[in-house]
Amino acid sequence: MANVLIERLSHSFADQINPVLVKELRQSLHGKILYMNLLMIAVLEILSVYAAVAAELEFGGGRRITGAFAFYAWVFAILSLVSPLSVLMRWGNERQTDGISPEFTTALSPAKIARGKLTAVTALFLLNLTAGAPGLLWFLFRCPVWHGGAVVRVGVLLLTILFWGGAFTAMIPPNRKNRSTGTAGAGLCFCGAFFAIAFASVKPPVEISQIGYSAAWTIGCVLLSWTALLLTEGAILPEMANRFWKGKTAIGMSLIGFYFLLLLLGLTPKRSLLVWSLTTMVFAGGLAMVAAIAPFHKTRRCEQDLPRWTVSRFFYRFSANRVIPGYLFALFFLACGALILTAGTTAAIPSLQWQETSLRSIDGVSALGCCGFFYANCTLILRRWMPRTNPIALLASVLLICNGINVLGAIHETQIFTVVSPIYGLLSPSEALPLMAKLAGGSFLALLLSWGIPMKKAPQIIHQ
Amino acid sequence: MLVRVEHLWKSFRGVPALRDLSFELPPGKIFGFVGPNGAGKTTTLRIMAGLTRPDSGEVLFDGIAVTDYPEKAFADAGFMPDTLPEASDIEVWEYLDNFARAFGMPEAARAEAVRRVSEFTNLIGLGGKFLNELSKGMKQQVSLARVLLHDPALLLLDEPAAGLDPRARLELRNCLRRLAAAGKSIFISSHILSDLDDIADGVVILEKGRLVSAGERTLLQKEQEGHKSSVRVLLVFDAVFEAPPEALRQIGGIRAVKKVSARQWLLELEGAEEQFRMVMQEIFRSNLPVVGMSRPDLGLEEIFLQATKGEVQ
Repeated sequence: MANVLIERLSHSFADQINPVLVKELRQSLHGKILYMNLLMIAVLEILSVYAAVAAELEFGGGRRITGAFAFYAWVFAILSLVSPLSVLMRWGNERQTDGISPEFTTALSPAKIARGKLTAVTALFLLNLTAGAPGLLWFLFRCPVWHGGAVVRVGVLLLTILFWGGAFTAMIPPNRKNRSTGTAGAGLCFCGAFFAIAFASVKPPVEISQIGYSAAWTIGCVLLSWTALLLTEGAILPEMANRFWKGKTAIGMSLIGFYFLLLLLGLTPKRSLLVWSLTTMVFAGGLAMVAAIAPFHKTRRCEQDLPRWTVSRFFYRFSANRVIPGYLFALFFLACGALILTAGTTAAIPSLQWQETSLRSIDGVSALGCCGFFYANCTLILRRWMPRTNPIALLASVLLICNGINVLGAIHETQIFTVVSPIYGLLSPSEALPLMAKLAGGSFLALLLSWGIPMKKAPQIIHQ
Repeated sequence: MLVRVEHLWKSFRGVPALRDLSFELPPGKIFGFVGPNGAGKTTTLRIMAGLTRPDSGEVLFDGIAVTDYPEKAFADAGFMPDTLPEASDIEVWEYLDNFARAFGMPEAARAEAVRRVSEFTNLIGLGGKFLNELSKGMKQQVSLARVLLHDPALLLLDEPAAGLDPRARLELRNCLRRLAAAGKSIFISSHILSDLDDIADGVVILEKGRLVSAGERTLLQKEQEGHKSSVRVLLVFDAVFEAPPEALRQIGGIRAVKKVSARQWLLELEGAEEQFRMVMQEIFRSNLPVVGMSRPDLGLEEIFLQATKGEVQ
């Protein structure tokens, strides 16, 4: 009875495993790369430990063990990528020979395909890690200084890089003439790995604990890996699906991920933090303007494919066209920039002893971000009233009118004509920020109100 | 399953690939899909398979639009692309087993499905071979086996005979005949019209993304015959002639006079049936030594050549 139950459970479990993962693991187990990779790791492990033991016996421990460990860790980190990358290379070849089309005619969703590939990559990476773990642990306990945190950081960062390699492989359109997209993804991973190892091995600032630092690092990497997974999925969606929504969300998430990763790492000193927040605000203004000219329409498929989960539904609807997600991301970045700027100026200014000119330029640059929002809001309001007019033309008109009326400033001294132009922000920075912020806020309110007013329908896209 | 393609439009970067394409495939028949290179055959098949979204128009399987619900296409149709399976380091049975998994089959059903399709496509004994070690013909069989795994009612085959040797083509034809006998609808695109000639019940002809002709073969033959046809008349003279005899020159409506030997001459007549009757009456009136006449049946090749102009996009 128990045997039958176990058999049934194991069978149903086997049936539930992602078919793409099964396929990838089967292919890897048949190929030579996996075995060669494991053999190389074993040889490296034996040689490194032997060299370290010999050095210890001959000259005593200390620096020589640390040197042997550094050598082992670097080579092992690179070797651990070989068999996972072979999955990506195979995938690139599959896409090049259109071997992926039959997969899309099955019950497999693109999400399942992407997850299967990246799980296979993870499984092979973990297998390599397990193979190299005895040597790694031996070194960790023998080294005079504990390097466990650095090892964790390098590990999670390498896995993140592998995920991004997957996303990169999926995003490059297959080309039957040129070399495999998988090779490009693998090459990118290898290059990235060198920098990543160096970056992740850097000692954390003294005021941050090793555990906290590595935990923050891991959270950032998990976020980025998730982003890569979404990107991969978005990139391989067949044409029948609304292929962009996950990609768009992923790009947004990756921006947020990078943003917080850098903040969490605490690598930016206070002065750079302010510059960082100012750049964010200007970027937010630009992003709002780009979003303001994006297409509004949703695809029919997008309406039909509503996910079951409420949260997913929200994200799905939120990303159904390019205007709303773009604008919301811009708002998010504006808020982040403003928050950091406010906190930074109040906390950092006394210690940094900012000069008056620097403070004025902070205001001026912040005003530019708000100015971008004002233009974007005006364009969006106009689009509500003139849905058939080209949005680029509308934005161009807004920019021309707002900047063109500067000329009137020559007729009359009042600054009322120049207030809606970036020139005003640059020339009168200390006054510009509050005024520009009010203008941006006011136009945003007008935009929200305009949504409540009935208006013409957006144009239908008519083919042929 | 009744398949209806309605007003399909598709363009790639402004270049139209399909222009208002409409046709119907009756259930349980083999229909050939022919057209010059670049006519839009693969695009049509991919749209029917639920892989490509048309700019407008619909493909209906039993009244359900697969353009809106591609899952219907995935369940009811098996699409075989024009590329062969090239996966490395995977055995044939593993390849088929993976696809059976992808269709959500539990273990027992999976094993049964793989055995069934392997038997049908003569892959028994090849299960343990690696896919990249197989010949083109064998890979094509594997591809066909994959398509049959979930037992679809409609098979969409894109150039399945391309690059195969005559024996492999014969085996493929036999397979398709057996599938048609089992009640499957088959829509098969091919450049090798002689292969389709033996098996196709009907044909859809496409040129420059536009439908030229579609329907059951007998209907198309009648349609083409109504427009234009040809008759060959063999004359055997007692005398020897170096140039066409003078009597032939006086008869109108002869398209060509060919010399078979100094005594044997072949006349080719072309036109509608009424014209034939008049020309033949004149030939007999002139007492020409007619020994034989032939009127070749219109094969797919003739139908295709008469219907198309050989233009590409």
